[in-house]
Amino acid sequence: MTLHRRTGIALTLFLLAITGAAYAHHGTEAYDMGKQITLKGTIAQFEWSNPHGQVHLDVTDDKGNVVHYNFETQPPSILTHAGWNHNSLKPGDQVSVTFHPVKNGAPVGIIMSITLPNGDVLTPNEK
Amino acid sequence: MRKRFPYLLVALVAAVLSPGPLFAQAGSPASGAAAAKDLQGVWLFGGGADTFNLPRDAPFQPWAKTKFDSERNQHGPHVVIDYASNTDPFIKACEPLGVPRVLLANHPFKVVQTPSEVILLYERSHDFREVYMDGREHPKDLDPSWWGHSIGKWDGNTLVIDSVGFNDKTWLDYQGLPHSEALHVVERYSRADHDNLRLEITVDDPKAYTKAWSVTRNYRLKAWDIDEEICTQSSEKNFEQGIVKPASATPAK
Repeated sequence: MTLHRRTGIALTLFLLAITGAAYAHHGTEAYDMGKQITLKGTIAQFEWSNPHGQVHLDVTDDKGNVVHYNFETQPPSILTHAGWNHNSLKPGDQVSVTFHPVKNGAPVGIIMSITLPNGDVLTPNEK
Repeated sequence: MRKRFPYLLVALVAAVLSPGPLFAQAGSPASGAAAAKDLQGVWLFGGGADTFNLPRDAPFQPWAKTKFDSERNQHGPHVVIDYASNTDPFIKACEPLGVPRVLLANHPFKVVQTPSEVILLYERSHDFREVYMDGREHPKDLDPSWWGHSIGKWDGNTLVIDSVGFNDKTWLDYQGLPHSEALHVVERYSRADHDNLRLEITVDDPKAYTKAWSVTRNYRLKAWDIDEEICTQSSEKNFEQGIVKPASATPAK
């Protein structure tokens, strides 16, 4: 268990190291880059836009309340090389989003990966 | 002996006619040798410890240090998240990045060469520069401009671009290194091998710095097209509303 956890931490640090530069366009100061959360929800809107795309996700909490999350993505010109396009996410899609949350606790984050309904995984990393 | 001769001939003919791979081994195991005086292609910044910034300990003149210390952006020593206290002219008003800041962006640029010019096409902000290679000098009394006036020449296989005539409104990097209208930038581009480009940037601005200083950056050749990456005030506003404002709000107690 400890070993797995250490491996996981090492892997996370490695991924941060290789993706850190690409994330820094508008800076990552707002985000807790050491923390990673995965949430399931429904796509409300996907903005394929500069300076960064935005993924709007409706997440239902334990009490049945819907919380509207908003996630930053890389710019379209970078996502293009990672296999995304403007139709990658559609309203109503049930997806799982892994992200670094903002430090202030707002329902905002920067995306690490999205698992699509068909099981495909989108990341910001070049393919 | 008579049987072996045709093989040698065929090999020699193949070597002469082949456009590259047979000659590509030296210093370039993957993609063939680079042609002389040819930097054409799409180049992407190779990353690094401080991708977006030049040295913080540049040899400032006093006013330049004071100005640098007053700047606020998402990068550098004086980080802010919210746009209201951000002083970056690019974030505030989508003003051009200028030189050398555009070279620090994590977006590719394309080099196009003609007999009389090198044309640099930047994905970041969809901007471009023309570098005159016809032997002309910089005009006297240039009007200050965002991108300045650039002339170039080849020093062996190194492209040397000399630029002056800038206004003083841009930052040299993302953390806010300032400059004056006396800014003189020399860029030296050379291929380390077919797929790797090395750039030495020299900043010479005696009004802002006590001496000229240089940095190097590396770029990788990509089989990409240049995409559209444009800063508009409406898109910045949308990003501020959707991400920056909630991310920079004071947490509720």
